[in-house]
Amino acid sequence: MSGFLALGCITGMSTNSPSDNSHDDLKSDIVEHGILAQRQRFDSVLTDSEVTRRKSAIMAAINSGQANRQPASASLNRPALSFKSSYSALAVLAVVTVVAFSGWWGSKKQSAAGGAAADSYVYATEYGEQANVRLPDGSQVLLNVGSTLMVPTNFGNGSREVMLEGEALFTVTSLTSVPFSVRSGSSVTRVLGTSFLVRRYSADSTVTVAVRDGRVAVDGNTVLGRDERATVFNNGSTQVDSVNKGQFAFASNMLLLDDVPLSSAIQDMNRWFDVDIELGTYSLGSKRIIATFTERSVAELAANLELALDLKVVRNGNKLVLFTK
Amino acid sequence: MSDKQTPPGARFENAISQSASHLSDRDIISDVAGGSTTAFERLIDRYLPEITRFAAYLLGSTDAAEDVVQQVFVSTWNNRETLKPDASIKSYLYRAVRNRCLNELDAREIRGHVSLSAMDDRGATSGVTPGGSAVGGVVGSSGAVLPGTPPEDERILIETTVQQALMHLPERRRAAVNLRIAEDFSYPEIAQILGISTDAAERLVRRALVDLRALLKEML
Repeated sequence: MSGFLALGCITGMSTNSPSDNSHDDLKSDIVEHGILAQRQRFDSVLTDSEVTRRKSAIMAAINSGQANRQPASASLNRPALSFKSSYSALAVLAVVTVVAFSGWWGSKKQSAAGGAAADSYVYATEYGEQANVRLPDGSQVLLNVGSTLMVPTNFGNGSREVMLEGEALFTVTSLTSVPFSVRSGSSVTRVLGTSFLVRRYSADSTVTVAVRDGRVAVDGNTVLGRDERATVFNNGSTQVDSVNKGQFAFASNMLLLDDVPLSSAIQDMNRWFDVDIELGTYSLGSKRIIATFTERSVAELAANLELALDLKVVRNGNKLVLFTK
Repeated sequence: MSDKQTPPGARFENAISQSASHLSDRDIISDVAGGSTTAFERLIDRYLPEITRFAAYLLGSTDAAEDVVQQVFVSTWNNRETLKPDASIKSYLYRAVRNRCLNELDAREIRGHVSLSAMDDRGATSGVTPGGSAVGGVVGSSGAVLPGTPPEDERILIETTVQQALMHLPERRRAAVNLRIAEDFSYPEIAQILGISTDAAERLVRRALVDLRALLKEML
């Protein structure tokens, strides 16, 4: 570390006029190196396939043009939908996210119904934030951290279908003849009255459906009972097993990590604590972690990780970089 | 935009839209104004990577940049009839991205406060929070851990610290220094995007570098 500090001071003093001519002098500067490294990091995300995906999303948004023109903020005043918490935060977020998702919803809807794109209400939580959403039929949705739920404006008129990205616990109490379904990724979960969770964050390659009470059908062919869990893979195959410890912990405002590799726990901790954890020493990713978090204190998270996993945490605001001791 | 140096983002353009590379922006814009979605896709191919990077410099991540860039392209399409083939579409896109990023940064400031208060009262209002002690406890583990490689650690630490420091700069300095160093834009180009004089662009970059060095000394 001291070596880099010294370098920073020396180069910092020696170059201070970045005109076009002296630009080359800056090449050795750690500041410039950091700026170029950041560009590289961004470029590494923007692969050809990622660019194609983003382009498709834009074209889908354009093709379902009318969905964009529906003012999202107006819909939030409708009494049929209510927030139990984080109302103002959600109101702000809903406006921000509706444009980005309307195309996606619109295109899904078009392929499903073959008709015009449907408008939908968008409920979104930030990292570190949960929310309760009550649907017009009385069903409750507990939206976990960093998740988005879309409810078509015509929900309840002949169908009760919602779309989810992220994780949510659904409690469908009203036993009407209209099935309730959740579309997440390429999977559809159908129920009449029950309590179950669906999870698929954008980073997840699988869809998880876990049943807390009642029975649900996943993609029309797999029926799950209480404490059963289905994992649906990208290729459409489905694996059924039992729910794990902590599967529904988020509904009690707890993050429970039950003997999982650190590398896979990082995403969950990032979302729960609204932090950005990076592995400074990559081999740390194979360490396994058993933990229960009930509060969102980043300082405590850092201290506990250091203590329990015998590592060093370099913290900079919400960024935590983990190193071996 | 100035033509006196390599156009920024040229590597990307050449890599992903070879077949359309002979078309000038002016040709493409004429077609877009006439309602051609094919031409619009070419415009996206040509500029999406670089304006996504630009938004990412301002917002801190390519994820955050995605919404902004999508909004800019959708609004460009919705206003296609008013596009002028003689005006630089590139400048237009950069300026539109920056405006939306400024809105997003403002909203973040507001939302930051809102989220905090929302977090505070959630336990009281949602009925799903049993409350609870501090961190319940983390139980350690074993696992094969190779010895760390300190130079690599330091490199990553310094890179992440520079990136943090960038986000602490005033938005204009952050924009200017990234465009100059990461994108190799000329000062006249930076001036045009930020709507300031060439001299002012130069001063912004210089101040940004001084700020960054000072911040780094503080943070490391």
